[in-house]
Amino acid sequence: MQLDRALVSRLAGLCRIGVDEAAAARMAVELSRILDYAEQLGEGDSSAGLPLTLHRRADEPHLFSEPERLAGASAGSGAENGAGNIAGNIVRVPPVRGEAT
Amino acid sequence: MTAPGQRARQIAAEVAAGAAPGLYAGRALAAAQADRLNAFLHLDAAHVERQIAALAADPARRRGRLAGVPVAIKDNFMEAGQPCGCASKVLEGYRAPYTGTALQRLQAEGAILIGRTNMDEFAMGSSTENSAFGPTLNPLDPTRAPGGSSGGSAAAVAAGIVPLALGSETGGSVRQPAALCGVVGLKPSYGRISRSGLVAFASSLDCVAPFAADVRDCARITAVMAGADPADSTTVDPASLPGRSASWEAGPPESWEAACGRGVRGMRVGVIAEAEGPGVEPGVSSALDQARAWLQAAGATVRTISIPSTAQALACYCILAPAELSANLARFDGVRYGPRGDRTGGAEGGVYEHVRGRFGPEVQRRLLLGTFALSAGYADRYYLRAQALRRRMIAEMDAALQEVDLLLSPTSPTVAFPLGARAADPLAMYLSDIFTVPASLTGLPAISVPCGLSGGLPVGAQLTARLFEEAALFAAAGVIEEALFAAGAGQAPAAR
Repeated sequence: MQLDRALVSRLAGLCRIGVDEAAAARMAVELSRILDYAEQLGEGDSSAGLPLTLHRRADEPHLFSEPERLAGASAGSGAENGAGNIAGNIVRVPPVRGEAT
Repeated sequence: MTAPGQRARQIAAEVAAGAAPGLYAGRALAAAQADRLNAFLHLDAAHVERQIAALAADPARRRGRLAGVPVAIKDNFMEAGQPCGCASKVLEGYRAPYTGTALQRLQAEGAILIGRTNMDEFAMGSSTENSAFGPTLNPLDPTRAPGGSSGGSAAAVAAGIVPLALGSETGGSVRQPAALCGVVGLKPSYGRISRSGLVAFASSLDCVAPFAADVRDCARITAVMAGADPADSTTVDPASLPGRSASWEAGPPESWEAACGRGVRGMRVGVIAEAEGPGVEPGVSSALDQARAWLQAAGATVRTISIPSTAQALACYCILAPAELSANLARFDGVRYGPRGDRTGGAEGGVYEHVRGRFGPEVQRRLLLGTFALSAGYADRYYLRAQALRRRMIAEMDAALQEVDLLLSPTSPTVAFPLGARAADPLAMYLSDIFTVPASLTGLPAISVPCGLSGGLPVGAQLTARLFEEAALFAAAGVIEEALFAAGAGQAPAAR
């Protein structure tokens, strides 16, 4: 597996590290060697292993569907952690300016 | 400096009998301050004095199993109020908010934590050259590396500064430097010692692991730290496991020191066939042959055994460890951890890159590799294949350990290598761990014990046992240690 400088720069962006062009070129060579070495993973018998399929969750918003539980979950510890007063499932926070009415 | 021959158990006995509780910690601190190996990153004399004063005022702890024993700590363990930098510029100035479980247990038995030791940045490396604060030198030959990533702790024990030190293991970071420095290093069973307070690298592999000047001390410090802990859900009480063996090999931590003198009569030892070959230095092979002969002479049955998947163990590790660390190191973002500098007013991407740009080249390399191995289109080819191989390796190792009680191999294919010799070739550096990663990937306990010299440098023999059967390791390592001493040659300065 050969990685090039452009792919390394893209990976560096994904993992939020600043890698300049010279470093990216050097890393491309080093990573390619390591991945070549890792190709031997395909040599063995994988029959005793995991199914070679990655199950991915659908890439879509996942809304929490139990708002009562969500609000209630903070009732036990919210106040001492500075979340303000909790009455029922209503969290009262300090006013930003002036007195609360 | 700890007197030659002075072991942790002897110090604890002296303190229990009335010796000044700070005597040895004071000597160790002075030796650490004079250290020219760059083994220590941080020493805090006032903190040591406070620990000594607290010990002096506590009669129960003065009778503890580690009473007054100076212990050096790798720079990736949390101790409240002390720096915890993982030898990285990313954590410069960070101080730990709490003390982790393993350190709490050491202190509860009277240990004095005397300082923080050098390491490869975030425990990634096999030579301690990846530290942001310069390499540690091997005390047996300062032109050579002490191994890594826990090289500072290994050097501190080998130099006689402390009788005990803590390191951490992900793929061999205690056993390999133990072998290269001529001391004892143990990777316990996964789940044996709580990782609470240990900065995470690859969570399915990470273990707290000790160094000691001899096997009995290693058994003692491991026993002190062992046990289930609610703060680490991977820890277990082995006695509660279904089908638990009642054999002496599965004995509780209290039995481990006695196991060191039990011998190996009747035990079955398998020499791993895949760990013999052209990549192993002749001097290392000769020393291992000697260890094999000593075990046979002590009554063990020794034969060669093949575990085919171990030949691909390093390839498996090269994918799985970076994949896990690429997730674990996401927290060093300048918001939760890491200095923001003066960029708080800029875009968040600027803060991230400012902080994460402080990672050294090896950490960056592994972050890139892990991100790639998990990316769509390549995860099946690399990550899932590596997981499949890991599962097969677990099955093969378990099967082998039904045929034999212990596995024997070299800890490292070479003796300590010159500083800089592998720095430009990451793959050559990774190959230093080729024999240690199988136990890491399978969760099995393994120990490295000195078994001779090659070219004047120490060689380590590695023993691997069934899960939670550390007692078997201590028994066999004790035989090798005794035989080496009886041979009158080959032991490193701290080996006796």
